[in-house]
Amino acid sequence: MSDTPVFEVRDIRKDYVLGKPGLFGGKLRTLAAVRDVSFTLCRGETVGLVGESGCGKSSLARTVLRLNEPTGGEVRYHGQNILDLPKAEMQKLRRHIQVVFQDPYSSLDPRFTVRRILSEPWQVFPEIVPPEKREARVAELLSLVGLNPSDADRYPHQFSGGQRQRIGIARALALEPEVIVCDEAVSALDVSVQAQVVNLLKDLQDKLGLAYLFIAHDLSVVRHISDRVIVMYLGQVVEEGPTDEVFRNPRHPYTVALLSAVPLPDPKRRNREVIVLEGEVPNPIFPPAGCPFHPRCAHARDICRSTLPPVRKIGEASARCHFADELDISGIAPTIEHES
Amino acid sequence: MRAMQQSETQGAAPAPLLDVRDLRVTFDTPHGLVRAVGGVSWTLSPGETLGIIGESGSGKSVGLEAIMGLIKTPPGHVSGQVMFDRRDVLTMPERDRRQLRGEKIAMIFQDAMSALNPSLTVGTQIAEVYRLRRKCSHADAERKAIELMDRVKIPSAKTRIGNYPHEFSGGMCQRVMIATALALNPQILIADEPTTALDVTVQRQIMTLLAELQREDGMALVLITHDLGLVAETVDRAMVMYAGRLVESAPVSALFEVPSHPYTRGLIRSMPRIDGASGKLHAIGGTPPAAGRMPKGCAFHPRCEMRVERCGIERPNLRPVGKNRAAACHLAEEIPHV
Repeated sequence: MSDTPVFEVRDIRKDYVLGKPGLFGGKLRTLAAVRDVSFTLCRGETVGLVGESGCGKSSLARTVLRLNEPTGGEVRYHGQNILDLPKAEMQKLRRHIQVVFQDPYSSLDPRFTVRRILSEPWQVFPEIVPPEKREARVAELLSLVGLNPSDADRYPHQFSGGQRQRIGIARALALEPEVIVCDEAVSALDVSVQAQVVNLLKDLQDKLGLAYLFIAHDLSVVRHISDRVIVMYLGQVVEEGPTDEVFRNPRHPYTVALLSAVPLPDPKRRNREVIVLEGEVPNPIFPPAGCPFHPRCAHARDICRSTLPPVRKIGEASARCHFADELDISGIAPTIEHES
Repeated sequence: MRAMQQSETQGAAPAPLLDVRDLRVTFDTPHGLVRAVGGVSWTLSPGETLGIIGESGSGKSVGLEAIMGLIKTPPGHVSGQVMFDRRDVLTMPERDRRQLRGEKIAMIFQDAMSALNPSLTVGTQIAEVYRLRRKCSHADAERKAIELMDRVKIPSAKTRIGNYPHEFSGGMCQRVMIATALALNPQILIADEPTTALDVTVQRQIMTLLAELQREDGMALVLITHDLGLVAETVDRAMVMYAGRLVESAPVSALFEVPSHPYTRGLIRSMPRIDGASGKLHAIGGTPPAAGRMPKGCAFHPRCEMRVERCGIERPNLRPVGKNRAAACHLAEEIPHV
């Protein structure tokens, strides 16, 4: 793993303006889906992004891909801010930053053969593979993702969910990208198949030096695949750091609650202490004052209700909590080393 | 529940509440007859929590839907026996069956949002159960609905009773569905992936709630899920299904420690763990067979690391392997620890 950042996101922000002003004017409401998120992706590195529905993780993915235009911030690819690029330039750059979506059933065109699905990107970027080599390249891509080269003439419906996700990955690889955004890429798969696809992603990374932004709600998968992890809550990063550090020694009460909620496949530990969070994630149109987590936080004090906590650095990790270095909460997280 | 578990381990099993014998479900399709569930037998004791584990297409949901009478026939065909209270559920007249559903056996589903009627208030939908089944007056039914909403911990039930499902979050909708299911105090609650669509902290809330309600009412719970973690934390006994058949049944602690079927072992090992180290996962190779194309012999043998010649020829029957355990594998006694 080298340390030159391939992909850098600085203070990215995405606000959605809701509705129209009323008859008498009135203030437009905005929903801050992503609030000042920053992270760096190096070659061969995986950054995991976790959080619950509505925390802004998919908005973040769409924004850094420029599928949604951000409200503010920077996205740098090899140092160049891609948010300033004119449309045509951006189009050219897209080959380097690909995406694999969650649903392998709706992200492949049912009328196309696998060959056509995999070669279509080359119509936009003909220089990547010259026409006479495409046939061979399709076969190569299929073997790379563990499918049979003879599968090229089949249609998506003839494949299982896991195999379709492999096709989706092969399509992303067709343009020889450096960065792949995996938006819940293994979430729809069954456990036994999910493990195959997770292993495949790891193998491809080792082979090709890919950088992944791995977005998932499943903390166990993220723990498994990520070098660093970002935890989001209500559009904000609440904790960030090396995966082992965050999972073993979480500093933010939300991270602790999140980890604690994950059921452990170990009947002997079913009576351990767990945190059952009260209530639900607040409406992001009306986020709470101060720390967005304070209404559900067992450790909240006055300052949490009034002041947004600054990001506190603790070793290589950081947490957005007033008491990140005081609270002794990490013991509750179910992260005792498991031999594997 | 504890007492029952004990009596079970001592071998003196109480009379089962539900006794499923050789349940089969097939469907007529344009591609011929497809077998979804092929001869499954199991029992459920009063107050017991039973987990049914399986991947997509394993038949775990279809079997329970057949028991509830939710399979459309034709194209479906259901055979076998399902004994409840000394009567066969599958052959009783539809009138009696309707009576049974909700009254004795209730079911909740994964997608609570779409299981509720979007054009009726949640209060109406909960109260409806009392008005139709208990012939309660509107006022009475509403009072009971509020009680029930309190019980499933929907905050400010009195005001939220007039809300529509879209005004509720996914977790709250699931609570509403649990409320309607529990309205008539059923003896069995079948929960089909009740938390799969929910976030993990909400899942924790719902599972805690279900455990509480179960403790109070003493009902039996059948939890259908693909999540081994949920099974490990919730159930007394677990059954594993593969390709429409039961491949293993065991007390949950035994199942996770020493599985008796290579598929169970493979599932446990392929699962990424939050308390585990990173590195390669032990994936099971291949994919489950399509319903119309079952391999000869053991359905799992093409993916099995332990297969021997016999596995491709002779289908193993579910047979007892030790105390309260059964497995359908020729090599059940030789499966290594996880």
